[in-house]
Amino acid sequence: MDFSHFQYQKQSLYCSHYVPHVSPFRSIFLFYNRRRIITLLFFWRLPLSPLAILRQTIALSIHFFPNEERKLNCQNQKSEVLISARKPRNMALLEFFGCAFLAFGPPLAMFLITIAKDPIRIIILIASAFFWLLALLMSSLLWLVADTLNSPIVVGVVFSVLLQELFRYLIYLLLRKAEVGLKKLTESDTAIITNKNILAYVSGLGFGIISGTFSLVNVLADATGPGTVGLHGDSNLFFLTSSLTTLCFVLLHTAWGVLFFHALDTKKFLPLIWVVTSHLLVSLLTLMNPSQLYLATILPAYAVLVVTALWAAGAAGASFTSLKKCLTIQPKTVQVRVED
Amino acid sequence: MAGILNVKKVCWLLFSAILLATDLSGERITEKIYQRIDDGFSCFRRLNGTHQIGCSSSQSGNVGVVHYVGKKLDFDWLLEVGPDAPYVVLLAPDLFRRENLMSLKNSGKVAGIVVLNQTDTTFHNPSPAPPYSNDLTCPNKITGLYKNDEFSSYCDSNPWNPAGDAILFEDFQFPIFFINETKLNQSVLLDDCYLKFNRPIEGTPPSYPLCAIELKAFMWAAVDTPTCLRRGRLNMLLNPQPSEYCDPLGNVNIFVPVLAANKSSGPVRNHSVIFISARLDSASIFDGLSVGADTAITGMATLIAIADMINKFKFDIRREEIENIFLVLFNGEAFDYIGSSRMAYEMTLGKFPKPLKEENPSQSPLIGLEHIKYWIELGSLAPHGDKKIYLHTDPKSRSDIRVDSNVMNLINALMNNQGNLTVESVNASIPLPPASLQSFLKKDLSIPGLLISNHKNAFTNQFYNNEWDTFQTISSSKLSKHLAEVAQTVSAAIYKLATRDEMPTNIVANVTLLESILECYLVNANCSLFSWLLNGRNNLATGSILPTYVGVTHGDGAYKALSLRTRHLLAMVSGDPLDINKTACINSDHNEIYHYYWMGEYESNNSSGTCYRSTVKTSYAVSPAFEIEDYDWASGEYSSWTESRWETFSVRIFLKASSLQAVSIFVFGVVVLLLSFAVTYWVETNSALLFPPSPEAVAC
Repeated sequence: MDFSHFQYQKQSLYCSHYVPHVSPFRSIFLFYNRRRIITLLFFWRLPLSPLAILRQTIALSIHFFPNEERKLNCQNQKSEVLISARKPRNMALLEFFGCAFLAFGPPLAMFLITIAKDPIRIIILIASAFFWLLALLMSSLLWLVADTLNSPIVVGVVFSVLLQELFRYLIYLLLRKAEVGLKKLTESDTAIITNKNILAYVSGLGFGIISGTFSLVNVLADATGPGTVGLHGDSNLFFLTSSLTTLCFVLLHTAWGVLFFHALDTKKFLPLIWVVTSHLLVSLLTLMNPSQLYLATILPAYAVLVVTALWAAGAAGASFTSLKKCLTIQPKTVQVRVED
Repeated sequence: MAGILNVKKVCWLLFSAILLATDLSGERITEKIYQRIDDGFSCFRRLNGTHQIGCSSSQSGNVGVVHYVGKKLDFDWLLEVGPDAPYVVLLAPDLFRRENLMSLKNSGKVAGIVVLNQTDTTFHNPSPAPPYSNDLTCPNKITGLYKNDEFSSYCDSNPWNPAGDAILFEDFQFPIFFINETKLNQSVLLDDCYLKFNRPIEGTPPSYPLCAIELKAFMWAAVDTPTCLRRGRLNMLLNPQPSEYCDPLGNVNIFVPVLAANKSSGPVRNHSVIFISARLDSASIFDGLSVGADTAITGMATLIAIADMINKFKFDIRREEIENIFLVLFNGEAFDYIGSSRMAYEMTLGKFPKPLKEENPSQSPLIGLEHIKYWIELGSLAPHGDKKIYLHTDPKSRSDIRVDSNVMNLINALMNNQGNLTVESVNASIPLPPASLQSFLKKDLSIPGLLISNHKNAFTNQFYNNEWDTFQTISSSKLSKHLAEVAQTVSAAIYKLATRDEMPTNIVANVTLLESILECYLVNANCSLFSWLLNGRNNLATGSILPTYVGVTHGDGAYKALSLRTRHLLAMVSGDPLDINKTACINSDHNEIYHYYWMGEYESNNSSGTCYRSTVKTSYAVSPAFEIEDYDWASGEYSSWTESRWETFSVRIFLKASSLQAVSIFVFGVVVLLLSFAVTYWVETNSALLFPPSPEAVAC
């Protein structure tokens, strides 16, 4: 290539290039600006002047359709087309959605199918989630004190678990007190009154969902990419194990809720002790995560989940016979319907 | 009441406890994923009237798998095998050359390039073997004097800069960074990233996870200068928070009229002013990496030494013949003579040094091109082997006999005062090398002038306009001595021309001054000379070197820092020390002839400060193209360079998970989601059977 006339030979076609629309200093405060512009557009600028409206409309459209790579017809320089076509795919985003579905899929299903249909259940779910938050606040304050005294993290974990169980007891008291009021509210759906386990289940799920959200959202926010964990020697399955642990805790809280309420209702202390000790056990097991013994955490945690879930189901009235009934009765009812 | 108070107290305690808690910061997952790399210099985008050059990343940054290329053979693997594209290629400095860059650029496999400059590791990276220059083989030819005449072909057959590979003028669609790694035992990019995760073993591609790097250097400007300026204007009109996309390159020219003159003493006579000039700037691809040791600083330092000597004999000048001597430092010369073309343009318009105003009595008289008697330009002057300096002249102007005889006077004056040097006059038929003088000759061919440099044909400077043009490549024990001898020769010649006498032997070049200047500009900008000039407010890191790149007009920081210090330095060497205190100095009558500088109040030096009255001035070094209305951007008359705006440069490394792992996690997540819906639905529909009311509940 001859460079002597490099500078002023006007090239007729330019290959792909970026066309900026937004000022440099603005994209820093993009979110803030977007809200501000909408506010201005609809509440302040709109009645004032047509020019202002034009400006704001353009600004708004610029914001919602930012830098678009405009590819012009390009024949001379094939390489540049190749380069612009080769944009790396962000595989981390796929991982992000996988982890989000894994940790929050089951609770989402439970919420949509069993909770969302009844406003009372939603209220109770939120109330119990609020109680868990109170427990978190208390344990944070305690941890603040403990940390200044250089206590090991074990102390914080133990106190946090005990506080959560204390607040589970408080929401139990509250719900039992509110039962009379609930009876008045729910005239159509009587299941929530007749079956006490439903209240227990809903409040347990409330605990689970909020604790799961708090433990995973920060992690998920960093999982959007482009990178994944492991540069400094951490396991690159970090996001997966975090999600599995979170899911386990969500389900455990639900089962603990049922078992805990049932134990208090029937004044049996063995399930109560199981709830507290297994909660302590599983929480303390997670302390092994920094040393990357993920299986040593997850396998016992899921074992505890199976035991607790079965126990809770039993407490709620399920048994092998009822399970069998479910599995076998259905075809019969179908048959009956056909005969009709 | 007491109860409420207590509650308030408790609340207050809790609140302060929470405030305190903000000190306790937990480790975020981000720190497990990313590692920032801070010692980077980025390539950026510049535009001229017709093209864009330089680099830009996408707005969110370019991501690529790290691959190290330490020797030529490694390119083959990358281009032919390399299955994990896009790559970001780590290059040893010696491999950062045109043919390699072009093969990488054209492969379409590359998302970015990092030049990895390591001082000491197992991978030994020496600085690139000379010659190595990123400028054109004929720098600044298009805006130069010989654009369309019989001399224009000279450079094509005998290039001034044969090493020039024109990488500086190439447009890359990906970012390029220059990263210094000075760690002695563990290199982040090589050891922790490439060798640990990415090295192919016996040609087999590495397995995931791979170490990837994100390079962010997004440029707002595109296409060319007129397009960018137009978009900027449009943005100003429509955007609630307007901003330009690019800025014209520019800084200040610094000049000293040796004798103070007032316009009241009448206009300057024709052919009565001697100009001595040098350039202050150089260029490189990377922002902040342009020392320009031989390209700019050798000539500049010599000019300051000459200013120091002229100041000692300025009252000997025969005023009836020579009215004044101007010492000029041009800025932006690397980008099509920005500084010199602007000064020549202002001279032709009668605006130099400042347009005359009736109401202002303290103004210098106008200087035009017709007032110039002689022009001496100092080019690159570092000694390369011999103690020769060469005098280049312009054949076009010398075709006029009157000009030719004046040029001969100039040559003779220099040759008669050569001292220990050997002064050689280059063949009169050979055109000028790239020089600021060309901008003035372009306007007026009657100026007798010459360029003094260290090369006869091609540049002896092996790193012309390159980031490796540093002190190391020109260092020798003789450097400051050699420059002092050049200063001595030039000053003696000027003395002869201005007074018709021999220069007294007691006027000698100040070698100590030259050594301090070279130290400050080339080795360590946090030096005592700069601190002295700025009364201790030097504020630069030890070992930092101020870049000589011209910068942009609206810019600040490093590029303005250099011209500030240079102006003070010239004020010191050319100024008259006055016996007044600080307040009197600062409150003196600063006007367009004199300016008063308070310098030397420097605590660690225990000196109390001196007031210098100096005639140092600055003028804008911005291309006239940005002043002229309806300028034809494609004409090549003046420099049309602008620099894109950008927000930040950032580099970080992290691991990239394999697609298989990401996909399997995604599928697992979706399966769990669907399964849980199915199971929950089944349990819900069968709940009456599955959970029969227990006898106790019935009993209730």
